[in-house]
Formats: sequence, C-alpha cells, structure tokens
Amino acid sequence: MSFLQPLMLFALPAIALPILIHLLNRRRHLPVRWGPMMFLIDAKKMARGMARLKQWLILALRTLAIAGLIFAASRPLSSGWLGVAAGGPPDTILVLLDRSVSMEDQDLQSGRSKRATALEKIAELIEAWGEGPRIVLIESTRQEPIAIESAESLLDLPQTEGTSTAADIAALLESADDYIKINETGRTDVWLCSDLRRSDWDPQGGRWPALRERFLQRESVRFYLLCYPDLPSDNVTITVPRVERRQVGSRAEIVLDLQLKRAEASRPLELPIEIVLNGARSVLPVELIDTELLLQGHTIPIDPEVEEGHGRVEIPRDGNPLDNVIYFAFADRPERRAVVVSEDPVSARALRIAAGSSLDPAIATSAIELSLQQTNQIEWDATALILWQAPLPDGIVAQQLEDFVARGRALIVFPSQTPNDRELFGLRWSTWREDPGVAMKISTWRWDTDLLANAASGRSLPIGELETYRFCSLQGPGRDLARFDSGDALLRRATRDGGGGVYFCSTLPRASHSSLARDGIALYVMVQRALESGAASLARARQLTTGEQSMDGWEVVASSDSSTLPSERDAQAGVYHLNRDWIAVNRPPSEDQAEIVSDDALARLFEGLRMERVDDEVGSSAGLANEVWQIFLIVMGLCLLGEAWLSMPERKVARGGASA
Amino acid sequence: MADQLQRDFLDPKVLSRLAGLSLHARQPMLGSVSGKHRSPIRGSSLEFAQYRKYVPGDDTRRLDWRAYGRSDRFYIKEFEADTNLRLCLLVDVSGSMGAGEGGRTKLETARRLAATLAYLAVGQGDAVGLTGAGEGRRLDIAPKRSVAHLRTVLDEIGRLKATGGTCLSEALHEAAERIRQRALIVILSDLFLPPEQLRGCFQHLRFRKHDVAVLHLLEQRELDLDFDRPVRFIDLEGGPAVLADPEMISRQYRQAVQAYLAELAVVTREAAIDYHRVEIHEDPGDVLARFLLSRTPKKARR
Repeated sequence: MSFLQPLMLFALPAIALPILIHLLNRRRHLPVRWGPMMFLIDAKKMARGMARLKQWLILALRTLAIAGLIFAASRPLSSGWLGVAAGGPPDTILVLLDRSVSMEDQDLQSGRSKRATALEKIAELIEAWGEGPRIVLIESTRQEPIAIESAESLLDLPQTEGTSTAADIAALLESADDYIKINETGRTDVWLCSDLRRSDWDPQGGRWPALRERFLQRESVRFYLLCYPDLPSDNVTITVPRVERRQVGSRAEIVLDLQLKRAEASRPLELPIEIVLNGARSVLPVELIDTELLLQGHTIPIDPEVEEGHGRVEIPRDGNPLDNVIYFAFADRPERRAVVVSEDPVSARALRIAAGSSLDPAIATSAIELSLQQTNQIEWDATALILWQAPLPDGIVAQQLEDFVARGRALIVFPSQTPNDRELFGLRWSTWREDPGVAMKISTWRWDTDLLANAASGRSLPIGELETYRFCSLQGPGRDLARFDSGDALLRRATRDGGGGVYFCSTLPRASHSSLARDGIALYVMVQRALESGAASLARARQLTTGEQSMDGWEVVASSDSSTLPSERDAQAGVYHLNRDWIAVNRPPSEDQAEIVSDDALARLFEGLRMERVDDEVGSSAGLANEVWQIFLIVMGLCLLGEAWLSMPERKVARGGASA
Repeated sequence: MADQLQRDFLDPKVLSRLAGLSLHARQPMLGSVSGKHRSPIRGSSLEFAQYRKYVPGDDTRRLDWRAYGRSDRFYIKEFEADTNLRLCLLVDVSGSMGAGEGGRTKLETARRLAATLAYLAVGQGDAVGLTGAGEGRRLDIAPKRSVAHLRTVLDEIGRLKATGGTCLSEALHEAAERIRQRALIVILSDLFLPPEQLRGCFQHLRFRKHDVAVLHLLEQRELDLDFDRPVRFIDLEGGPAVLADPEMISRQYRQAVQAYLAELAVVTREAAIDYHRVEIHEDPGDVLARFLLSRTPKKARR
C-alpha cells in the first residue's frame, strides 16, 4: 500500500491518545465514602477477566478509529497484493507492454483484451499517482522508450494497440535497463504487462542471467509483474502452412493446407472455415474433434489466367480475434533452379540428379553442373540453391555467396578432396577421416525440424541406415542436424541471423565415401528441402511472419486493422504488394503455443530482484491502486460503533421496593 | 416529653401518624407488669386461652361448670395473661452506617426509626433498652419503661456516632446472652457481614426465644453502583481504599449484591427473623407503618 499524502502518517503517534486519555481519566477519580466494600471486592474479582478484555477492546477500537482517520487522510492507494511500499510515488514508472497476439485474448462478456485490461489498470494507477512520476512506455514491437504525457494518452497511443507480433520479454527488459542506465531514473517502478507465454519469455534463453545480474546492481528498481496467465477456453487458432498455385494442363487451382488448433478438446466443434480468394468467398465446414485438425491439399479452382492474387482464411470470432484469420498470397511459381559447383564429377552428378528431379510435375525444376572456374556463370538472382563441392572460396565469390544466402537462398557445402584453411560462414573443413573397413552410422539427428525432419506423414527419414566411410571433420559453430557416434557432424547448419540456410555436409555422395547416393532418399529429401526453402525467397508471393521484413514502401492490399498508422504497419497481419511481388504477413506460429512460464521458472528469472507478481484476470475491473480512503473511514466508523456498543452502560436492574 | 419532641430525629408528624398503631410481639413475652402483650403464663385476662383437664390441686374456682354439665368431665378454663414487652433496640454504629448522601445517613435513618419505636413502646407501657453495636465503645442500656428512661434512651440515640469497624455479630451474640428474658430485639443495621456469619447470630437469638426484627438499612446506590466515572471508594470502616471504574464492574457488583440479598433472605427465613429492607431515603413514617402493620396480629388488625 502506498500513500498520496505520506506526510500525514507522521500523525500516527496520535493513536496513543486514547491510552493517554484513559490513563488521565483513571487519575481523575471521584472519592466516595463507601460502606459495602465486600461487594466491590467480590465484583472486582469477578470482573477480572471479561471486563479487562472489554477494556482492552475498547482501547483497541479507539486506537484503530484514530489510525483509520489518519490513514484516510493520508489518501492510501490500494495495491492489494503488492505489499507495503515505502514512501510516496516513484520517480519513474516504466511500462513494459507485451503486444503479442496472445495478449489479445478477450473476455467474451466485456470484449476487453488482456492488453486493454492491463493498460486501463496501469493508466488508473498512474492517474492515482498524480503528476509526480515520469511515465515511459516500452512496447514489445520496437522496444524503444516513449515518454508518456498523461495516463489517458497511454490508452490512445497507436503504440499500445494490439498487434500480430510475438514479444521478446528479455529484449523489453534489456531496453528498460538501458533506459534506466542512461537516464538515471532514480526510484523506478517497472510494470511489466504480459500473459507469461513461454514462447515470448523464453525462460531458458541465454540473456536472462546477464539481465538479472544487471538489475541486481540497480537497487532502486522495483518490478511489478502484471500477468494474465489464464488461457482462453475454446479458443481455436487457424494457420495455413502451405499455399500454392498449381497449373495442371489447362486447369489452375489454389492448394491450401489448413490447420486448426485448440488448447483443450472439450467437445466436438463444428466450424465454418471461410476462404476469401481474390474477393470470392467460399465456406468449408469442418468438425474439430480433437485438439488439432490438419486439412491437407484443399483445392480451390481458379481462372487459369489469374496468375497471382491474395486471400484470407477465417474462422468465426472467438476468445482471440487475431488468431482467427490468416492472410495468404499466391503467384505462379518460378522455376526451382539449382547450381552444382563441384570438383568431383561423380559427386556432382549425384547432386545434380537429386536437385533436378521434382516429384511434383507441376513444379519446374532444373539443376546445372559448373566447375569452380565457371562460378561467374551462376545466375545469382534466379538460383534457389547452390550445392558447393569445392575448396572454400574467398574474395569475390565468397562475398557473392554471402549475398546469395542473405537474400534467402540456400547453400549446401560439401568438402573438397583437398580442404583448405579458409572459413565460410564461420565454418571450415579440417581433415578427412576414415575408419578402414568400418561403416560409420548416424546416431542422432534432428527429426523435428529442418532438412532431416520427419515426413508430413510422421515417418522418419532413413538417416539411421546411412553408411559413411570417409568424412571431413568440421570446425566452427553451428547446429548439428545429424551426428555420428563419435560426435562428429554429418550435417551442420551454420549459425546466422536471417537469410537462407547454410548447411555443411561432411561427406560426399560417392560410393567410396558414403551411401548417400546409393540410398538416395536422404540425399534427395535433404536437397529438395533446401531447394524449396531457397525457392521460397525467389517466389513472387511469399508468406512471412510479422517483423520478418519491413513493409515500408509496400502497398497495403488487406490488413487486420485498416486504421493502423504506417508506422505500425509492420506489426499488423495483412497482404502487401509491390511491383509484381506479393507478401502475406501473419502472426508467428509460436503465438499459437498455449504454454505458460511456470511459477518456478519465473521466480528463477527474477531471483534476488524486488518483484511483486500481480495475477489479474482479463476483463477484470478491479483497480490496481485505487484510492481507498473510504474503506478506512468505514473502518473508523465501525470501530467507533463497536466502541460505543462496548462502552454502553449495562441495562440497569429495575429498582424494586425497599422492603423485602 | 417536651424535651423529647425537640429532638430532630423524633418527628411529631410521624408520631401522630403512628399513634393509632401498636407495637406487637409475634410471640408471648415475659414481662414484669401487665401490658398489651400475650404471656406464656396463663392469667386472668378476658381473653380465653384454652381448656385443660382438671388435676387435683387446681383452683376449683376456675372449673368450667357448663362444660361439666355438658360432658360430665371436669375442665379448667384458662385465660391469656397480658404482660408488657421488652423492646431492645440494637443499632449498628459501625463506620459503614455513616454512608449516605443528601444529608441522610444510615445512622440518621436508624436514629429516626429507633427513637420513634422507643417512643411508641414507652407510650404503650413497654420497656425500652438500647444497644449500640460499634467497635471499641459498646453502649448498653437495659430496658425500662419509665418516661425518664425514655429520655435517657433518646439522648443516647442522639449521641450515637458511626465509627470504626463492624462488630455486629459479637454484639448480637452478646445481646442473646445478656438479655435473659424474652424480648423484642429490633436490629437496625446495614448488615454488611457474610450472611453465614449472621445465621449463627440470629439462631442464637432465636434460641433464647427472642422475637427478632431486622430493619436492613440500605442506600439505593449501594445496590446499583450507579456512577459515571472512576471512583475511589473510601472504606468507612477504615480498610484500604479501592479504585474502580463502576462501568466495568457494575454488572458483577449487582450480581454480588443480589447473591448476598438472596442468601440473607434464606438466613432470615430459616431463623424466622422479621426482616424489612429499608431504603434510607424513605419516609420513616412509611417504613414504621409498614413494620408495625406487618406485626399486628390478624385478629387485632380486624
């Protein structure tokens, strides 16, 4: 509890007044000459227990009444669970706002989201503090401090509106720490409003320990975690994992994979999925029985002359309106072009076959072989994948490869027969290793993601059956996608921020080195997936998540919030168009994962810091810090009533006649 | 009598109001002269007492010949003997009798009642004695029926002072031993003693065949403890003062008083004591009228 007029608390010693008056009153006694002392002595003996208790009660109630008056005059703020804060308002209030999609979970009765509820309460709290503290907002999309003039403006700012983004809570706190450090904010209250989604908090992330250490050095910072951990019941999310325009003969169609998810399978749910394609509306009724439903290959015929367009898939509005709609864009697909740069014809041939053959006849695929000297013939802009089996380059070729990957294309590097000392994307080849007569097996591989992930049917790739006789050991950081028993990597993905994937495969697809070519499935899938990911960046129509690319200069074709300011456009889902390119931007898939950070994990993140957790409910109207002087006045009134009742003289016994 | 009428505790109005009432004993008295009260000895009054069988030696003049004529048996006809009464006034002069407000103390009320009773008794030919039961000084005036003696008694009543601790029980036992013949003993006291202690005193008096009446003098505030601020109670009998808040203990005080009065009622009933509670601010005329009327035999009242 805090006070708006803390100086009034200096009057608290006045609660001793009733005790002083009581003691003085005892001295101001009336002398009476008395005969029946025997009754007095008996009465005092009898009254020793209850009467003394009554006296103490009366004194306590009088003391409480005065305390209530003083507290009421101090204008206390109810902060409920927040404990007792010393002193008055802080110098600075930092409001860290999670604007992720999950914060748009709504209370269906009031229609208010978690974000709106949190904002209203914070605004109310700030208003109660008056004009004392400096208010700064840091929201999750930009993580930049914004000075706030008044509590009302907090509710009206475009920077506090809902978005289709994910949040990075650690980054929010880092930004808060930077602000505190630069501005020397004095006593600072940090109000962090979040729904504790694990995907936003990433409690296992490496930034947290350092962040905690930094805040441990700031003694004047107090954290208030205003959290909304309740998951909405019966909320269904929709995603579209795949959108393709397919032309087979004279027919053209749009192929969609639709995925519905919900947290609990409470009862079967019939849902009409509304698909709007270039303005034409169609409805697909489905029944969601379990927690998840995947509709693969739903086709919508289109005019063969329509080569591009956009649309959206929508389900009826529920607990979170932002996860009920998905935008998509489509266009005819460019040829998937792969280039094999190799010094070894055998390997080159195997790689060219793997890259140049597509199972889907509707997808045009081609692959060419080039030698190391022919790299100037590579059409960098039209190529989706480069398979590099040659010494690691340097100079201009290395730079071209960097640019190539930065544009989202894919690169798989195979070792040269004569590895050099050069480094590419932080990795370099070391020496060839072999164990004569022994075929090395893959012990572990990432079956859940990336190139070696299980098939859509759930079946795993036959990676465990691969035999490797020679491999070139790899040095440098990265994520191993497949590993031998010895711990050496067969396939490692280079660590990079953004852009396409860069993979290093430590053996060659030739009989003397491995069974990659002989048991071609693994190689084929691996290369085709890399080609697909690289081709995605070549496509004229792309499906991105919010924040993945700046939409500056792009024309808004459709948007989840048509009133959004241009500055906020990157945070909104929608369809954007520029020249011949289309981009559909949707929320990150991580926002559909309804997992909450556990209490223990949260406690560990803030261990040693002054943190008060406030669990609130979406739509709740209970204030965080209301002025509660009325309660103290009521308490005072009740105390006075109780005191009057206890002090009331007992009813006199009716006086009888003098004679017996 | 002119001197006596000048005493302020002897109110002529009260006397004139009570002139028509007599002081009666509830049981036969043994007096020295003829009077208005029954005697345990058969006498020659006009009031028939009983028949009894003739035994040799009886005075044949008292044979009831009519009864003999009807039953052919000899019966002696006996008559009540009328005698006078010894009225012993026992006034408690302990310190607690000095309590009172508005110029009226318990002792003052006791004076008025005792003096009026003495006047009435002497007026109807009874003897009056006085005992002052107080600590240290003990006053004993043997009952006599002369007017001069009445003056002495009244003088002593006027000189009574409430001081010291109570020694009522000792005074009662002593009176029981000292007064050999049957007497009407009127006790004027606040009886601030444990009832169990009084039980022995009353039974002792009854054992001596005395007719015992108690005028229990109390003040209303002593029953209610009606004060609105803390009070320092100064013990009139010299004990330590007690500081108390009456608001805190008034309920328990009243409980203690009620328990005491209930126990006292049992004690007086068992000992056949003529008990009267008197509020000291009551009109003495009313109190005595009630007292005298309650003692008047039913036949006489008619």
